[in-house]
Amino acid sequence: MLTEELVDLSRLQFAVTALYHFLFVPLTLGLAFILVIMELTYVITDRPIYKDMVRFWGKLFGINFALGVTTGITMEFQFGTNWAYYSHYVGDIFGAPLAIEGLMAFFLESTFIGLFFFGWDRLNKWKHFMVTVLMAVGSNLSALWILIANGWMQNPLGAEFSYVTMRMEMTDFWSIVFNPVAQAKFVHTVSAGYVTASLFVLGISSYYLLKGRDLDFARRSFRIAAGFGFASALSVIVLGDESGYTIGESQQTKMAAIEAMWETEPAPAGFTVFALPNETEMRNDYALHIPYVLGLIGTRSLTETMPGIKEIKERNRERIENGIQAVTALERLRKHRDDAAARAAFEASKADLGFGLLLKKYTVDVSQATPEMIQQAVDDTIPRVAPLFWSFRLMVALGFAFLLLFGFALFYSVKGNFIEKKWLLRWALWFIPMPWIAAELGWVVAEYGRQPWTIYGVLPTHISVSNLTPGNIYGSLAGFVGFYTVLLIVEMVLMTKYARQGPASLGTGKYHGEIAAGGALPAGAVADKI
Amino acid sequence: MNKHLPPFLQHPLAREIALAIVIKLAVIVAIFFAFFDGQSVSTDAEAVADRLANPSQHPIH
Repeated sequence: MLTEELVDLSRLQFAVTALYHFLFVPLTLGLAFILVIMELTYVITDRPIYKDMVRFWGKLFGINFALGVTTGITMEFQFGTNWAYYSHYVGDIFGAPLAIEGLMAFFLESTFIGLFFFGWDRLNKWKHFMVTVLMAVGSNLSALWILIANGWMQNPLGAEFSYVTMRMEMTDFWSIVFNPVAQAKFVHTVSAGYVTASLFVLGISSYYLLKGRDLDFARRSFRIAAGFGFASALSVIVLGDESGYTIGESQQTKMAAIEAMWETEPAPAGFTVFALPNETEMRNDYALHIPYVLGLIGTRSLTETMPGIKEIKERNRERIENGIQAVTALERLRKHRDDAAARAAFEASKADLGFGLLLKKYTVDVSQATPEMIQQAVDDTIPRVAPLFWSFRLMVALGFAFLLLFGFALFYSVKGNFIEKKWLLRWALWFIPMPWIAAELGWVVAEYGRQPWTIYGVLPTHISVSNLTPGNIYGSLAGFVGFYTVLLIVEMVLMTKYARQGPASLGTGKYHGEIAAGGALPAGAVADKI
Repeated sequence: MNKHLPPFLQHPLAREIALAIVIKLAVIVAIFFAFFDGQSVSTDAEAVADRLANPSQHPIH
Protein backbone atom coordinates (compact mmCIF):
# COMPACT_ATOMS: atom_id res chain seq x y z
CA MET A 1 0.00 0.00 0.00
CA LEU A 2 1.41 3.38 -0.99
CA THR A 3 1.28 5.94 1.76
CA GLU A 4 2.61 9.45 2.19
CA GLU A 5 5.00 8.01 4.77
CA LEU A 6 6.41 5.52 2.25
CA VAL A 7 6.91 8.19 -0.41
CA ASP A 8 8.53 10.59 2.06
CA LEU A 9 10.80 7.88 3.46
CA SER A 10 11.89 6.81 -0.02
CA ARG A 11 12.68 10.42 -0.85
CA LEU A 12 14.55 10.84 2.42
CA GLN A 13 16.62 7.72 1.80
CA PHE A 14 17.62 8.89 -1.67
CA ALA A 15 18.34 12.41 -0.44
CA VAL A 16 20.50 11.20 2.45
CA THR A 17 22.57 8.80 0.32
CA ALA A 18 22.94 11.41 -2.45
CA LEU A 19 24.04 14.13 -0.02
CA TYR A 20 26.55 11.77 1.61
CA HIS A 21 27.85 10.73 -1.82
CA PHE A 22 28.33 14.34 -2.81
CA LEU A 23 30.58 14.95 0.18
CA PHE A 24 33.21 12.90 -1.65
CA VAL A 25 32.55 13.85 -5.28
CA PRO A 26 33.46 17.56 -5.55
CA LEU A 27 36.93 17.09 -4.07
CA THR A 28 37.66 14.30 -6.57
CA LEU A 29 36.44 16.43 -9.49
CA GLY A 30 38.53 19.45 -8.58
CA LEU A 31 41.64 17.98 -7.02
CA ALA A 32 42.27 15.89 -10.14
CA PHE A 33 42.72 19.07 -12.20
CA ILE A 34 44.85 20.75 -9.53
CA LEU A 35 47.10 17.67 -9.72
CA VAL A 36 47.24 18.15 -13.51
CA ILE A 37 48.40 21.77 -13.06
CA MET A 38 51.01 20.80 -10.47
CA GLU A 39 52.31 17.89 -12.54
CA LEU A 40 52.46 19.98 -15.71
CA THR A 41 54.59 22.46 -13.78
CA TYR A 42 56.80 19.56 -12.67
CA VAL A 43 57.32 18.13 -16.17
CA ILE A 44 58.09 21.59 -17.58
CA THR A 45 60.38 22.85 -14.81
CA ASP A 46 61.75 19.47 -13.63
CA ARG A 47 61.80 20.81 -10.04
CA PRO A 48 61.27 17.97 -7.54
CA ILE A 49 59.15 20.12 -5.22
CA TYR A 50 56.31 20.03 -7.77
CA LYS A 51 56.53 16.25 -7.89
CA ASP A 52 56.28 16.24 -4.08
CA MET A 53 53.22 18.50 -4.36
CA VAL A 54 51.56 16.09 -6.81
CA ARG A 55 52.34 13.14 -4.56
CA PHE A 56 51.18 14.81 -1.34
CA TRP A 57 47.93 16.30 -2.66
CA GLY A 58 47.50 13.07 -4.65
CA LYS A 59 47.65 11.17 -1.36
CA LEU A 60 44.72 13.21 0.00
CA PHE A 61 42.96 12.73 -3.36
CA GLY A 62 43.50 8.96 -3.00
CA ILE A 63 42.03 8.86 0.51
CA ASN A 64 38.97 10.74 -0.68
CA PHE A 65 38.55 8.50 -3.73
CA ALA A 66 39.05 5.25 -1.83
CA LEU A 67 36.52 6.26 0.83
CA GLY A 68 34.03 7.81 -1.62
CA VAL A 69 33.98 5.12 -4.29
CA THR A 70 30.98 2.76 -3.90
CA THR A 71 28.83 5.39 -2.17
CA GLY A 72 27.37 6.21 -5.62
CA ILE A 73 26.49 2.57 -6.21
CA THR A 74 23.89 2.77 -3.45
CA MET A 75 21.94 5.31 -5.44
CA GLU A 76 21.98 3.19 -8.58
CA PHE A 77 20.72 0.21 -6.55
CA GLN A 78 17.95 2.37 -5.13
CA PHE A 79 16.50 3.06 -8.56
CA GLY A 80 15.65 -0.63 -8.58
CA THR A 81 14.77 -1.19 -4.94
CA ASN A 82 12.98 2.02 -3.94
CA TRP A 83 11.98 3.45 -7.31
CA ALA A 84 11.08 0.36 -9.33
CA TYR A 85 8.20 1.96 -11.20
CA TYR A 86 10.30 4.97 -12.03
CA SER A 87 12.92 2.59 -13.42
CA HIS A 88 10.42 0.79 -15.58
CA TYR A 89 8.65 3.93 -16.73
CA VAL A 90 11.78 5.83 -17.82
CA GLY A 91 14.57 3.27 -17.47
CA ASP A 92 15.16 2.97 -21.22
CA ILE A 93 16.13 6.62 -21.31
CA PHE A 94 17.53 7.23 -17.84
CA GLY A 95 19.54 3.99 -17.83
CA ALA A 96 21.49 4.82 -21.00
CA PRO A 97 23.65 7.68 -19.62
CA LEU A 98 24.15 5.76 -16.35
CA ALA A 99 25.43 2.74 -18.28
CA ILE A 100 27.71 4.91 -20.42
CA GLU A 101 29.04 6.54 -17.25
CA GLY A 102 29.93 3.16 -15.77
CA LEU A 103 31.43 1.67 -18.91
CA MET A 104 33.26 4.70 -20.25
CA ALA A 105 33.99 7.29 -17.62
CA PHE A 106 34.20 5.38 -14.35
CA PHE A 107 36.35 2.60 -15.82
CA LEU A 108 38.64 5.21 -17.41
CA GLU A 109 38.92 7.11 -14.14
CA SER A 110 39.50 4.01 -12.01
CA THR A 111 42.10 2.51 -14.34
CA PHE A 112 44.15 5.68 -14.47
CA ILE A 113 43.85 6.27 -10.73
CA GLY A 114 45.64 2.94 -10.28
CA LEU A 115 48.36 4.01 -12.72
CA PHE A 116 48.61 7.42 -11.06
CA PHE A 117 49.48 5.92 -7.67
CA PHE A 118 51.54 2.94 -8.72
CA GLY A 119 53.07 4.21 -11.94
CA TRP A 120 55.66 6.69 -10.60
CA ASP A 121 58.50 4.18 -10.93
CA ARG A 122 57.21 2.56 -14.13
CA LEU A 123 56.36 5.53 -16.36
CA ASN A 124 58.47 8.47 -17.47
CA LYS A 125 57.28 11.87 -16.31
CA TRP A 126 55.42 12.78 -19.52
CA LYS A 127 53.59 9.46 -19.58
CA HIS A 128 52.72 9.85 -15.91
CA PHE A 129 51.46 13.34 -16.63
CA MET A 130 49.20 11.93 -19.35
CA VAL A 131 47.88 9.40 -16.84
CA THR A 132 46.98 12.26 -14.48
CA VAL A 133 45.25 14.13 -17.31
CA LEU A 134 43.21 11.04 -18.25
CA MET A 135 42.31 10.46 -14.60
CA ALA A 136 41.00 14.05 -14.38
CA VAL A 137 39.14 13.75 -17.68
CA GLY A 138 37.64 10.41 -16.58
CA SER A 139 36.34 11.76 -13.29
CA ASN A 140 34.81 14.78 -15.02
CA LEU A 141 33.28 12.62 -17.78
CA SER A 142 31.70 10.58 -15.02
CA ALA A 143 30.04 13.74 -13.76
CA LEU A 144 28.95 14.63 -17.29
CA TRP A 145 26.97 11.42 -17.85
CA ILE A 146 25.41 11.47 -14.39
CA LEU A 147 24.33 15.06 -14.93
CA ILE A 148 22.93 14.22 -18.36
CA ALA A 149 20.74 11.66 -16.60
CA ASN A 150 19.82 14.19 -13.91
CA GLY A 151 19.28 16.97 -16.47
CA TRP A 152 16.77 14.76 -18.24
CA MET A 153 14.80 14.43 -15.00
CA GLN A 154 14.62 18.24 -14.85
CA ASN A 155 13.92 18.80 -18.54
CA PRO A 156 12.79 15.61 -20.31
CA LEU A 157 13.63 15.96 -24.00
CA GLY A 158 14.04 13.36 -26.74
CA ALA A 159 11.46 10.89 -25.39
CA GLU A 160 7.74 10.20 -25.58
CA PHE A 161 5.18 7.97 -23.88
CA SER A 162 4.14 4.79 -25.70
CA TYR A 163 0.68 3.51 -24.85
CA VAL A 164 1.72 0.09 -26.25
CA THR A 165 4.56 -0.52 -23.78
CA MET A 166 3.15 1.84 -21.15
CA ARG A 167 6.43 3.64 -20.62
CA MET A 168 8.57 6.45 -21.93
CA GLU A 169 10.74 5.60 -24.93
CA MET A 170 13.74 7.40 -26.33
CA THR A 171 13.17 9.22 -29.62
CA ASP A 172 16.35 11.31 -29.89
CA PHE A 173 19.50 10.33 -28.02
CA TRP A 174 21.42 13.47 -28.99
CA SER A 175 18.80 15.85 -27.69
CA ILE A 176 19.16 14.05 -24.34
CA VAL A 177 22.96 14.43 -24.49
CA PHE A 178 22.82 18.08 -25.53
CA ASN A 179 19.92 18.96 -23.23
CA PRO A 180 20.68 22.60 -22.28
CA VAL A 181 19.71 21.98 -18.65
CA ALA A 182 22.15 19.04 -18.42
CA GLN A 183 24.97 21.00 -20.04
CA ALA A 184 24.46 23.99 -17.76
CA LYS A 185 24.27 21.72 -14.70
CA PHE A 186 27.45 19.92 -15.72
CA VAL A 187 29.63 23.00 -16.05
CA HIS A 188 28.13 24.56 -12.91
CA THR A 189 28.64 21.37 -10.88
CA VAL A 190 32.22 20.66 -11.96
CA SER A 191 33.12 24.32 -11.38
CA ALA A 192 31.75 23.94 -7.85
CA GLY A 193 34.04 20.90 -7.50
CA TYR A 194 37.02 22.99 -8.63
CA VAL A 195 36.17 25.63 -6.02
CA THR A 196 35.91 22.94 -3.34
CA ALA A 197 39.31 21.47 -4.17
CA SER A 198 40.95 24.89 -4.53
CA LEU A 199 39.72 25.97 -1.11
CA PHE A 200 40.84 22.62 0.32
CA VAL A 201 44.41 23.18 -0.99
CA LEU A 202 44.34 26.89 -0.12
CA GLY A 203 43.13 26.23 3.44
CA ILE A 204 45.61 23.47 4.24
CA SER A 205 48.46 25.48 2.68
CA SER A 206 47.38 28.41 4.86
CA TYR A 207 47.60 26.14 7.91
CA TYR A 208 51.27 25.41 7.10
CA LEU A 209 51.96 29.09 6.49
CA LEU A 210 50.32 30.06 9.79
CA LYS A 211 52.43 27.43 11.55
CA GLY A 212 55.52 28.68 9.73
CA ARG A 213 56.42 25.23 8.36
CA ASP A 214 57.07 23.81 4.86
CA LEU A 215 56.95 27.39 3.58
CA ASP A 216 58.21 26.77 0.05
CA PHE A 217 55.82 23.84 -0.45
CA ALA A 218 52.85 25.72 1.04
CA ARG A 219 53.57 28.95 -0.86
CA ARG A 220 53.57 27.21 -4.25
CA SER A 221 50.45 25.21 -3.39
CA PHE A 222 48.71 28.37 -2.19
CA ARG A 223 49.46 30.22 -5.44
CA ILE A 224 48.18 27.44 -7.66
CA ALA A 225 45.02 27.09 -5.55
CA ALA A 226 44.49 30.88 -5.58
CA GLY A 227 44.70 31.12 -9.38
CA PHE A 228 42.65 28.02 -10.13
CA GLY A 229 40.18 28.88 -7.37
CA PHE A 230 39.59 32.42 -8.59
CA ALA A 231 38.85 31.23 -12.14
CA SER A 232 36.61 28.49 -10.76
CA ALA A 233 34.71 30.78 -8.37
CA LEU A 234 34.11 33.19 -11.24
CA SER A 235 32.91 30.42 -13.52
CA VAL A 236 30.68 28.84 -10.87
CA ILE A 237 28.84 32.17 -10.56
CA VAL A 238 28.66 32.84 -14.31
CA LEU A 239 27.62 29.26 -15.07
CA GLY A 240 25.17 29.31 -12.15
CA ASP A 241 23.60 32.31 -13.84
CA GLU A 242 23.44 30.27 -17.07
CA SER A 243 21.82 27.49 -15.08
CA GLY A 244 19.27 30.04 -13.81
CA TYR A 245 18.54 31.02 -17.40
CA THR A 246 17.87 27.46 -18.52
CA ILE A 247 15.78 26.85 -15.41
CA GLY A 248 13.78 29.90 -16.43
CA GLU A 249 13.03 28.32 -19.79
CA SER A 250 12.10 24.81 -18.74
CA GLN A 251 11.27 25.02 -15.07
CA GLN A 252 9.56 28.28 -14.41
CA THR A 253 7.94 26.75 -11.35
CA LYS A 254 11.27 26.17 -9.67
CA MET A 255 12.44 29.67 -10.49
CA ALA A 256 9.24 31.26 -9.16
CA ALA A 257 9.56 29.24 -5.93
CA ILE A 258 13.26 30.11 -5.53
CA GLU A 259 12.33 33.78 -5.87
CA ALA A 260 9.14 33.61 -3.78
CA MET A 261 7.55 35.40 -6.74
CA TRP A 262 3.81 35.03 -6.17
CA GLU A 263 2.59 37.46 -8.80
CA THR A 264 3.75 37.89 -12.39
CA GLU A 265 5.72 41.11 -12.30
CA PRO A 266 6.13 43.56 -15.16
CA ALA A 267 9.30 42.86 -17.16
CA PRO A 268 12.10 42.87 -16.20
CA ALA A 269 11.30 41.37 -12.79
CA GLY A 270 13.26 42.43 -9.73
CA PHE A 271 15.48 40.09 -7.72
CA THR A 272 14.37 39.54 -4.13
CA VAL A 273 17.41 39.79 -1.89
CA PHE A 274 15.53 39.15 1.33
CA ALA A 275 11.93 38.21 2.07
CA LEU A 276 9.73 36.46 4.58
CA PRO A 277 7.63 34.16 2.35
CA ASN A 278 4.11 33.59 3.67
CA GLU A 279 2.98 30.42 1.89
CA THR A 280 -0.50 30.33 3.43
CA GLU A 281 -1.48 33.74 2.11
CA MET A 282 0.76 33.48 -0.98
CA ARG A 283 2.63 36.71 -0.41
CA ASN A 284 5.85 37.96 1.16
CA ASP A 285 5.43 39.62 4.53
CA TYR A 286 8.56 41.66 3.92
CA ALA A 287 10.71 41.90 0.80
CA LEU A 288 13.79 43.76 -0.38
CA HIS A 289 14.15 43.92 -4.19
CA ILE A 290 16.87 44.85 -6.66
CA PRO A 291 15.06 46.03 -9.79
CA TYR A 292 15.53 44.31 -13.18
CA VAL A 293 18.06 41.68 -12.04
CA LEU A 294 15.84 38.58 -12.01
CA GLY A 295 14.30 39.38 -15.39
CA LEU A 296 17.78 39.70 -16.91
CA ILE A 297 19.01 36.45 -15.32
CA GLY A 298 15.88 34.47 -16.09
CA THR A 299 15.01 35.68 -19.58
CA ARG A 300 18.08 37.59 -20.91
CA SER A 301 15.60 40.24 -21.97
CA LEU A 302 14.16 43.56 -20.79
CA THR A 303 10.69 42.86 -22.16
CA GLU A 304 9.94 39.20 -21.43
CA THR A 305 7.92 38.55 -18.28
CA MET A 306 8.52 35.71 -15.83
CA PRO A 307 5.37 34.06 -14.52
CA GLY A 308 4.61 34.20 -10.82
CA ILE A 309 3.38 31.25 -8.75
CA LYS A 310 -0.29 32.22 -9.02
CA GLU A 311 -0.12 32.36 -12.82
CA ILE A 312 1.78 29.05 -12.97
CA LYS A 313 -0.87 27.44 -10.80
CA GLU A 314 -3.61 28.57 -13.16
CA ARG A 315 -1.66 27.18 -16.13
CA ASN A 316 -1.16 23.93 -14.26
CA ARG A 317 -4.88 23.73 -13.52
CA GLU A 318 -5.54 23.77 -17.29
CA ARG A 319 -2.90 21.11 -17.80
CA ILE A 320 -4.38 18.92 -15.06
CA GLU A 321 -7.83 19.24 -16.61
CA ASN A 322 -6.38 18.34 -20.00
CA GLY A 323 -4.41 15.54 -18.33
CA ILE A 324 -7.69 14.01 -17.14
CA GLN A 325 -8.55 13.50 -20.83
CA ALA A 326 -5.15 11.87 -21.41
CA VAL A 327 -5.48 9.46 -18.47
CA THR A 328 -9.08 8.58 -19.39
CA ALA A 329 -8.13 7.98 -23.04
CA LEU A 330 -5.15 5.87 -21.96
CA GLU A 331 -7.36 3.66 -19.81
CA ARG A 332 -9.72 3.19 -22.76
CA LEU A 333 -6.77 2.38 -25.03
CA ARG A 334 -5.56 -0.16 -22.56
CA LYS A 335 -8.81 -2.06 -22.87
CA HIS A 336 -9.19 -1.59 -26.65
CA ARG A 337 -5.94 -0.93 -28.47
CA ASP A 338 -7.83 -0.33 -31.74
CA ASP A 339 -10.14 2.32 -30.35
CA ALA A 340 -9.46 5.10 -32.88
CA ALA A 341 -11.41 7.74 -30.94
CA ALA A 342 -9.46 6.97 -27.75
CA ARG A 343 -6.18 7.10 -29.68
CA ALA A 344 -7.07 10.48 -31.17
CA ALA A 345 -8.09 11.80 -27.74
CA PHE A 346 -4.87 10.50 -26.23
CA GLU A 347 -2.68 11.99 -28.97
CA ALA A 348 -4.39 15.35 -28.49
CA SER A 349 -3.80 15.43 -24.74
CA LYS A 350 -0.74 13.21 -24.10
CA ALA A 351 1.54 16.19 -23.39
CA ASP A 352 -0.40 16.62 -20.14
CA LEU A 353 -0.54 12.94 -19.15
CA GLY A 354 1.80 13.53 -16.22
CA PHE A 355 -0.42 16.33 -14.90
CA GLY A 356 -3.42 14.02 -15.05
CA LEU A 357 -1.50 11.41 -13.07
CA LEU A 358 -1.07 13.94 -10.23
CA LEU A 359 -4.72 13.30 -9.42
CA LYS A 360 -4.03 9.60 -8.80
CA LYS A 361 -2.90 10.63 -5.35
CA TYR A 362 -6.49 11.57 -4.56
CA THR A 363 -8.70 9.33 -6.70
CA VAL A 364 -8.51 6.07 -8.63
CA ASP A 365 -10.84 7.32 -11.35
CA VAL A 366 -9.51 10.72 -12.37
CA SER A 367 -12.52 11.36 -14.59
CA GLN A 368 -14.50 11.64 -11.33
CA ALA A 369 -12.09 14.10 -9.73
CA THR A 370 -13.86 16.80 -7.73
CA PRO A 371 -12.91 20.50 -7.91
CA GLU A 372 -11.36 20.07 -4.43
CA MET A 373 -9.14 17.23 -5.68
CA ILE A 374 -8.10 19.29 -8.69
CA GLN A 375 -7.29 22.20 -6.39
CA GLN A 376 -5.16 19.90 -4.20
CA ALA A 377 -3.30 18.66 -7.29
CA VAL A 378 -2.79 22.25 -8.45
CA ASP A 379 -1.37 23.19 -5.03
CA ASP A 380 0.93 20.14 -5.20
CA THR A 381 2.60 21.45 -8.38
CA ILE A 382 4.41 24.15 -6.40
CA PRO A 383 7.23 22.99 -4.11
CA ARG A 384 7.48 24.58 -0.69
CA VAL A 385 8.86 28.05 -1.17
CA ALA A 386 10.75 28.86 2.04
CA PRO A 387 13.34 25.99 1.91
CA LEU A 388 14.14 26.80 -1.73
CA PHE A 389 14.24 30.54 -1.14
CA TRP A 390 16.74 30.28 1.72
CA SER A 391 18.85 27.42 0.33
CA PHE A 392 19.36 29.34 -2.89
CA ARG A 393 20.31 32.57 -1.15
CA LEU A 394 22.76 30.90 1.19
CA MET A 395 24.38 29.10 -1.75
CA VAL A 396 24.69 32.33 -3.74
CA ALA A 397 26.07 34.24 -0.75
CA LEU A 398 28.71 31.55 -0.24
CA GLY A 399 29.54 31.67 -3.98
CA PHE A 400 30.30 35.39 -3.75
CA ALA A 401 32.26 34.86 -0.51
CA PHE A 402 34.46 32.32 -2.37
CA LEU A 403 35.03 34.81 -5.18
CA LEU A 404 36.06 37.45 -2.66
CA LEU A 405 38.38 35.08 -0.81
CA PHE A 406 40.07 33.83 -3.98
CA GLY A 407 40.21 37.41 -5.29
CA PHE A 408 42.21 38.48 -2.23
CA ALA A 409 44.32 35.32 -2.36
CA LEU A 410 45.19 35.89 -6.02
CA PHE A 411 45.82 39.62 -5.54
CA TYR A 412 48.24 39.06 -2.66
CA SER A 413 49.81 36.10 -4.49
CA VAL A 414 50.63 38.38 -7.40
CA LYS A 415 51.94 41.01 -4.96
CA GLY A 416 53.93 38.27 -3.25
CA ASN A 417 53.01 39.20 0.34
CA PHE A 418 50.17 36.81 1.16
CA ILE A 419 52.23 35.15 3.91
CA GLU A 420 52.00 38.39 5.93
CA LYS A 421 48.18 38.48 5.61
CA LYS A 422 47.29 36.34 8.62
CA TRP A 423 43.59 37.27 8.36
CA LEU A 424 43.52 35.88 4.81
CA LEU A 425 45.25 32.65 5.85
CA ARG A 426 42.85 32.18 8.77
CA TRP A 427 39.87 32.94 6.52
CA ALA A 428 41.04 30.30 4.02
CA LEU A 429 41.61 27.73 6.77
CA TRP A 430 38.25 28.16 8.49
CA PHE A 431 36.40 28.36 5.18
CA ILE A 432 37.44 24.84 4.11
CA PRO A 433 34.00 23.24 4.86
CA MET A 434 32.00 25.98 3.15
CA PRO A 435 32.13 24.74 -0.49
CA TRP A 436 30.64 21.43 0.66
CA ILE A 437 27.78 23.29 2.33
CA ALA A 438 27.22 25.36 -0.83
CA ALA A 439 27.26 22.24 -3.04
CA GLU A 440 24.77 20.40 -0.82
CA LEU A 441 22.48 23.44 -0.81
CA GLY A 442 22.73 23.51 -4.61
CA TRP A 443 21.45 19.93 -4.76
CA VAL A 444 18.62 20.78 -2.37
CA VAL A 445 17.57 23.60 -4.70
CA ALA A 446 17.83 21.38 -7.79
CA GLU A 447 16.05 18.31 -6.44
CA TYR A 448 13.63 19.66 -3.85
CA GLY A 449 12.66 22.29 -6.40
CA ARG A 450 11.64 19.57 -8.88
CA GLN A 451 8.88 18.24 -6.60
CA PRO A 452 6.22 16.88 -6.99
CA TRP A 453 7.89 15.19 -9.95
CA THR A 454 10.59 12.61 -10.42
CA ILE A 455 10.52 13.48 -14.13
CA TYR A 456 9.39 17.06 -14.45
CA GLY A 457 5.91 17.22 -15.96
CA VAL A 458 5.95 13.51 -16.84
CA LEU A 459 5.96 11.28 -13.77
CA PRO A 460 4.79 12.28 -10.29
CA THR A 461 6.95 11.18 -7.36
CA HIS A 462 4.14 9.33 -5.58
CA ILE A 463 3.70 6.96 -8.55
CA SER A 464 7.45 6.32 -8.90
CA VAL A 465 8.10 4.53 -5.61
CA SER A 466 8.24 0.78 -5.05
CA ASN A 467 5.63 -0.93 -2.91
CA LEU A 468 7.59 -1.44 0.27
CA THR A 469 6.80 -1.22 3.92
CA PRO A 470 8.06 1.77 5.89
CA GLY A 471 9.97 -0.75 8.03
CA ASN A 472 12.10 -1.75 5.02
CA ILE A 473 13.14 1.84 4.53
CA TYR A 474 13.64 2.71 8.20
CA GLY A 475 15.97 -0.29 8.52
CA SER A 476 17.98 0.33 5.37
CA LEU A 477 18.11 4.07 6.04
CA ALA A 478 19.56 3.44 9.48
CA GLY A 479 22.05 1.01 7.93
CA PHE A 480 23.22 3.48 5.29
CA VAL A 481 23.41 6.44 7.65
CA GLY A 482 25.43 4.36 10.12
CA PHE A 483 27.76 2.94 7.46
CA TYR A 484 28.28 6.23 5.64
CA THR A 485 28.92 8.03 8.91
CA VAL A 486 31.68 5.52 9.65
CA LEU A 487 33.16 6.18 6.18
CA LEU A 488 32.97 9.91 6.76
CA ILE A 489 34.65 9.69 10.15
CA VAL A 490 37.43 7.51 8.69
CA GLU A 491 37.87 10.03 5.86
CA MET A 492 38.10 12.98 8.23
CA VAL A 493 40.49 11.19 10.59
CA LEU A 494 42.81 10.18 7.71
CA MET A 495 42.61 13.58 6.02
CA THR A 496 43.37 15.40 9.28
CA LYS A 497 46.21 13.01 10.08
CA TYR A 498 47.96 13.41 6.72
CA ALA A 499 47.18 17.12 6.41
CA ARG A 500 48.81 17.69 9.84
CA GLN A 501 51.76 15.53 8.86
CA GLY A 502 52.11 17.49 5.63
CA PRO A 503 54.62 16.64 2.90
CA ALA A 504 56.71 14.86 5.54
CA SER A 505 54.29 11.96 5.05
CA LEU A 506 56.01 11.35 1.68
CA GLY A 507 59.14 10.28 3.51
CA THR A 508 61.53 12.25 1.30
CA GLY A 509 63.49 13.57 4.31
CA LYS A 510 63.12 17.18 3.19
CA TYR A 511 60.16 18.46 5.14
CA HIS A 512 59.00 19.67 8.54
CA GLY A 513 59.62 17.10 11.26
CA GLU A 514 62.03 15.12 9.11
CA ILE A 515 64.68 17.86 8.93
CA ALA A 516 64.40 18.51 12.67
CA ALA A 517 65.20 14.85 13.25
CA GLY A 518 68.45 15.22 11.34
CA GLY A 519 67.04 13.86 8.11
CA ALA A 520 65.80 10.64 9.68
CA LEU A 521 62.44 9.56 8.30
CA PRO A 522 59.47 9.23 10.60
CA ALA A 523 58.44 5.69 11.41
CA GLY A 524 56.16 4.13 8.81
CA ALA A 525 56.80 6.79 6.22
CA VAL A 526 59.15 4.83 3.97
CA ALA A 527 56.83 2.19 2.62
CA ASP A 528 54.10 4.67 2.00
CA LYS A 529 54.20 5.23 -1.72
CA ILE A 530 51.38 7.69 -2.23
CA MET B 1 51.86 -15.82 0.15
CA ASN B 2 52.05 -12.67 -1.92
CA LYS B 3 53.47 -14.62 -4.87
CA HIS B 4 50.08 -16.24 -5.33
CA LEU B 5 48.32 -12.91 -5.64
CA PRO B 6 47.69 -11.29 -9.03
CA PRO B 7 50.17 -8.53 -9.95
CA PHE B 8 47.78 -5.67 -9.12
CA LEU B 9 47.58 -6.90 -5.52
CA GLN B 10 51.32 -7.26 -4.96
CA HIS B 11 51.63 -3.79 -3.45
CA PRO B 12 50.50 -3.66 0.22
CA LEU B 13 48.56 -0.46 -0.35
CA ALA B 14 46.75 -2.00 -3.34
CA ARG B 15 45.69 -4.89 -1.10
CA GLU B 16 44.37 -2.48 1.52
CA ILE B 17 42.37 -0.50 -1.06
CA ALA B 18 40.99 -3.67 -2.68
CA LEU B 19 39.98 -5.05 0.71
CA ALA B 20 38.32 -1.77 1.70
CA ILE B 21 36.30 -1.69 -1.53
CA VAL B 22 35.22 -5.32 -1.16
CA ILE B 23 34.12 -4.70 2.44
CA LYS B 24 32.20 -1.59 1.45
CA LEU B 25 30.42 -3.35 -1.41
CA ALA B 26 29.63 -6.28 0.85
CA VAL B 27 28.07 -3.99 3.48
CA ILE B 28 26.01 -2.13 0.86
CA VAL B 29 24.78 -5.36 -0.73
CA ALA B 30 24.04 -6.82 2.71
CA ILE B 31 21.90 -3.80 3.64
CA PHE B 32 19.96 -4.04 0.40
CA PHE B 33 19.58 -7.81 0.72
CA ALA B 34 18.41 -7.56 4.33
CA PHE B 35 15.69 -5.02 3.66
CA PHE B 36 14.65 -5.41 0.04
CA ASP B 37 15.01 -9.09 -0.81
CA GLY B 38 11.67 -10.57 -1.89
CA GLN B 39 10.16 -7.15 -2.59
CA SER B 40 10.61 -7.25 -6.36
CA VAL B 41 7.85 -5.79 -8.49
CA SER B 42 6.31 -6.90 -11.77
CA THR B 43 7.45 -4.46 -14.38
CA ASP B 44 5.69 -5.84 -17.47
CA ALA B 45 3.50 -3.39 -19.36
CA GLU B 46 0.29 -4.67 -17.75
CA ALA B 47 1.64 -4.33 -14.22
CA VAL B 48 2.84 -0.81 -14.88
CA ALA B 49 -0.47 0.07 -16.51
CA ASP B 50 -2.21 -1.24 -13.37
CA ARG B 51 0.07 0.92 -11.36
CA LEU B 52 -0.79 4.01 -13.38
CA ALA B 53 -4.48 3.17 -13.12
CA ASN B 54 -4.43 2.58 -9.39
CA PRO B 55 -1.16 3.44 -7.66
CA SER B 56 -2.38 3.23 -4.08
CA GLN B 57 -3.87 -0.26 -4.36
CA HIS B 58 -1.00 -1.96 -6.12
CA PRO B 59 -0.08 -5.18 -4.29
CA ILE B 60 3.34 -6.13 -3.00
CA HIS B 61 4.63 -9.14 -4.94
